[in-house]
Amino acid sequence: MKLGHCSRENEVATALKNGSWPQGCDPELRAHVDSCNTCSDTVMIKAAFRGALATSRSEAHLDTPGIIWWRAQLRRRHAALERVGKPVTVAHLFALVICIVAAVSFAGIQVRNAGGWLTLLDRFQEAVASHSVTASSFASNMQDWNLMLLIPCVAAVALLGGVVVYLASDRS
Amino acid sequence: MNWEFVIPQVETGEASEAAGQLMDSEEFAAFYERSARSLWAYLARVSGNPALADDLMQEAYLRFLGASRVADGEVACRRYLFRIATNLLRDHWRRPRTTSLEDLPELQFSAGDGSGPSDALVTLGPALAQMRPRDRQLLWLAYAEDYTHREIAEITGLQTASIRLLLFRARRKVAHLLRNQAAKEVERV
Repeated sequence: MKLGHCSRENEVATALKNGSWPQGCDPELRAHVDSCNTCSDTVMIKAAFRGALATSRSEAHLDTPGIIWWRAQLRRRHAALERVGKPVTVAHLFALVICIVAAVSFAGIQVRNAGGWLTLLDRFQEAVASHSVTASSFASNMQDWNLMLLIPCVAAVALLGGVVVYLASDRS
Repeated sequence: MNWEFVIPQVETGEASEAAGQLMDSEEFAAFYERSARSLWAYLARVSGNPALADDLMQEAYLRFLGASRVADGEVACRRYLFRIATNLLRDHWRRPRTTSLEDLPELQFSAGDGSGPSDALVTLGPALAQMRPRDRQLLWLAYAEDYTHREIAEITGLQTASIRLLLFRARRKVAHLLRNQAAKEVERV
């Protein structure tokens, strides 16, 4: 289907595009445009749009290309950071979950051994009460403590503290 | 730990990959100088809003530079840029807003420097204001930018056959409006 097509429309369009319309083109083509609705419409519309384009181009207030380039680099960098940050966030969450599970497990074990801790506490209180707490006596008491329980406890607290400090500093 | 120290390695790889596909800053500056005014004109006349055209043009270039792959050559890059701008316009029109594009005053189509609209815009502005946004797009691309039907189809995402029909109707309508405009001018004189 050829909608409002004229065989010479392309010729007219080319003349308009080259800037040879109307003086620089064949008088016969000018006569054709005068008698052809399609071609006269083409000339009218083209002239209107070309004029508007020229005016609009002069109106444009452009940023410097350097600013656009810099913003694009910034956006690309931000996107790259986001891409890298995703697995790190997942790793943070995973570490946090592991720590919580470890802490809860440890607390559970300690609850079972609460009797032993209470005995130790009683002995320590007795020693303080008798004013006989010396370095040697304290050391001997320490030997009685269950080191197998104390060391993991301290380690878990240190680990949790480290994770919390790390997460806080990373977020800030 | 600051992960930005890790990024340069990631970025270096990406940058070198992108540089092969896109352009460096100097090439971009030259391309920008050649294409920005035409792109702004397209956005401003089709949207009828110079301020919006400023924003969309900047976003179009940012997306253009952020694209992982762009077709080779200036013409293809320019066409790709117009395609991005067309999509941005479409997104803008789809977004709910307080002012409809159809309700924008005709003054939006005039020059914004206070010196008054030029003859070309006085003639075309009111006619464009009465056209649908898509018709404005098609007419501008065809008659201001000299794009072929195939290129317009590529830019707008429509079928070439649809472009032919839509452009024919838009052209008929704008011709009618321009003739009426001219007749009114003659009567006024």
